[in-house]
Amino acid sequence: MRKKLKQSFIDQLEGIVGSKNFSTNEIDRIVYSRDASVAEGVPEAVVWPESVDEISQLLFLANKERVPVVPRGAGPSLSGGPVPLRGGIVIDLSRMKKIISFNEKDLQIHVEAGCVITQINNFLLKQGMFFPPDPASQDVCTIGGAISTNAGGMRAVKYGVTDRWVQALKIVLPTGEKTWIGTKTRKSVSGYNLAKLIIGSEGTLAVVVEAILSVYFVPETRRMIKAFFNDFESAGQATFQIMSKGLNPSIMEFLDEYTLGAISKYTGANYCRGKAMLLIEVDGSRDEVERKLPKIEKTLKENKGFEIEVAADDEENLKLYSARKAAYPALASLSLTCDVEDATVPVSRLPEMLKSIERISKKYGVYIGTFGHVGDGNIHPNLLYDERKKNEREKVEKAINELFETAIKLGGTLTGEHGIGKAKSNFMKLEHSPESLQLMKSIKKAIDPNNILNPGKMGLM
Amino acid sequence: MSGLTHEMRFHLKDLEEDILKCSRCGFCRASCPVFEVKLNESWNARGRILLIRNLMEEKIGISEEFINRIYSCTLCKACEVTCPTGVKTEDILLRTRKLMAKENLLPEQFREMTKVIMETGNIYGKRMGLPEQLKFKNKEDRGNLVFIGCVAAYGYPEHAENFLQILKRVKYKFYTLEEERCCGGIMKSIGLEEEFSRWVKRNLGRIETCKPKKIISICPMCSHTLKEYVNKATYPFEVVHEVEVLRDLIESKKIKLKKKLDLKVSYFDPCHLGRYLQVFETPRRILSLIPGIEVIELGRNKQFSRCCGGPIRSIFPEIRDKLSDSIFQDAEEKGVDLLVTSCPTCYHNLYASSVSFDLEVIDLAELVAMSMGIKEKT
Repeated sequence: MRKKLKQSFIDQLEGIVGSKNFSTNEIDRIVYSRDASVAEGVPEAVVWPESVDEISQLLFLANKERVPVVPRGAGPSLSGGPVPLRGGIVIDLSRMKKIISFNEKDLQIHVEAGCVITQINNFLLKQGMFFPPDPASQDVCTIGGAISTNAGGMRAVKYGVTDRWVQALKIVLPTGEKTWIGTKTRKSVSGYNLAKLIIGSEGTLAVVVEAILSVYFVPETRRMIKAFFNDFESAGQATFQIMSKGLNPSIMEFLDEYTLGAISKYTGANYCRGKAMLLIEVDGSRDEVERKLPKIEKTLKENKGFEIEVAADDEENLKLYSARKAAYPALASLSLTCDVEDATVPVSRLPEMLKSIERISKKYGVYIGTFGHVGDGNIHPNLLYDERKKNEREKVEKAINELFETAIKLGGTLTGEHGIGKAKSNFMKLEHSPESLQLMKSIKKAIDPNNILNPGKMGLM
Repeated sequence: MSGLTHEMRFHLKDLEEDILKCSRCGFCRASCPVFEVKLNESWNARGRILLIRNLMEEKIGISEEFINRIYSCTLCKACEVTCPTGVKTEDILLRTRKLMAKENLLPEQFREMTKVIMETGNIYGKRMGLPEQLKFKNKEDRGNLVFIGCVAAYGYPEHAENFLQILKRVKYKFYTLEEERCCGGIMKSIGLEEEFSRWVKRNLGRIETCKPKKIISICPMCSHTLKEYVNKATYPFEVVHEVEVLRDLIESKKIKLKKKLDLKVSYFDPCHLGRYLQVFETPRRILSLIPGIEVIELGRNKQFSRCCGGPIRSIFPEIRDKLSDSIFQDAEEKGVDLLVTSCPTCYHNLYASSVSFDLEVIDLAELVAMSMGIKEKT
């Protein structure tokens, strides 16, 4: 057990960031003890640095004193990633939110880590550009958080997840050194790809303080299509075929019967048909979209899709998009607690995964509403229960275990976009070989020998 | 630091289900105006709810900082708009404040303000007679009572006068009370429920004696407070806000908007008129009917509108300043000539900020009066 922070350490910390950016008050510490997961851990101090130098000095000091440091963005995370399990200091990067520069020639934007994705997009939209990764929390999540968790979103099916759009990162190492990693060029095979190592490392290796991101042109047009299915196999087959025919949708979402019922109740519009709905978006030039739409429609029909409807205009697009966005609130309104998982499988194994979810729901008597990004095999089973009831918690825990085991058996992964954090720490062994886990631990040890950065996460140390 | 009394422990438990509905996703960070200023979780809806949860679970007590965070919320309801799980933050905070206020655990300034209202009838702390130009006698039963409210009556009588002069010009029958008193909404927001109940009952008693058919209030907080209470206690009159009357009179051509004003304006939605009473389109409709007015929406508008900071100005003046500054910054970026609102309290707070910007704030009724030719364009 580590000793409490020494007063001299606290004084030095306050000296680095200034009293208005520092607190050891219980009220400020308590609110940084949680994210959107069940993980809990109260920090001993919270700091809101305003410069890279402050973070560097702070890490140098913490490393010297062996004090845990947990970087945090907006904390919408579902994995416990930013929860300080071993106390120490939380670095809230929210106050470092400057857009430093925009390079329209190279289509790159340089931002501080505390910038919110929507803030970046509001800036870019004025130039006709956008940053494509669109996690559901994009209105609040910081780019630093998105990088640390390699966040995805609905449009990842076409545009990929965060790492595809990160050129270079300014990081502070646990020992306090500052450095840029990555490149501003489109191609580079110069040395190890350190930026890719840091992306998705959940603040266990370095604190991301600035980023140079690639951005892209806003597509000329977007159109949505919906179709209902009477069984998961048909919906899964349609998904698989649309993807394998290279139709490259920008959104490819699945919603199961239970979720559709919840959305209908929540929005007042009736989406209750069959067993499932697919919601697909294509974007690009008008020509490209017009060319793809009939091919998608045909594929849906061939796979027993019914009530296939192409949105006629932006208003209808928005209606369908909003229905999908209502999935989580609609399910959450049905019970006190809603646990969102994100096991991911190869697209070809989706029908099996979906059937297994149904089986697991029945086996444990837990309501599960499933929706998600089927185009990349990333689905979100939402487990509904009352967290106050021990027996319900236990049933949910067992169901989640089996969900993970099933995904791994099908060649999948524990998490498509939420991250490991604390929540899935114990399951790392399921997915990774002892050798690869050892390799991860060796990397961690090499970069953070004193294990001060976000300890207790990702099944590392 | 105070621990929980038996009564608080007992009643906090009633909040459990509402508190646990918060999934801690933090989507309120996108809308909470106070968080936008402080950028510290404990000044955000998610943080406040987590603090109340920790209090309920007796992991923390009630410290001065706890009181600050609970009372730093402006109750603007913006967080409820972006909350995906439908957490009723305003209700949770009101109920928590009620419990705290019972134990006298509230900021001294609020206790003092309530005392002042009780003694003088208004928030200005001295008994005042209604300015002569706002006095209109009751000549009939079941008439239209204009409830001016204390801010408009004593702080900005010229706003009330504009509205009353418009009504007079179109021969709309109405009368005013002999003395304007606070509607009591502030007491309710502080958590002094018993004081509020007694006060609003007394107010409505006064109102009932002149048997109105309709109450037209100038201040949105008065509208909401009276409407909520009137509905609850089934009084035989309806409550509307002045913009609803203006819109009806303009649409029925009783008010003739003749003068072209040639102005670009943004409309700022007061929380009580907008998110509380869901009146968003009416003021915009009025503006659209004034010749020469071009409305450019603020970046944050309607459901997503910021708050002027009025409810916390006495305890956190620096936050209030930043809140109203941010509204002006938004308007300035839009390149408008004027910022329009329809709430005397918002006007008061925005006016304080206007000195730092090359932009002025104006009450909507004044624009109507200008276009009618009652008031000169300044």
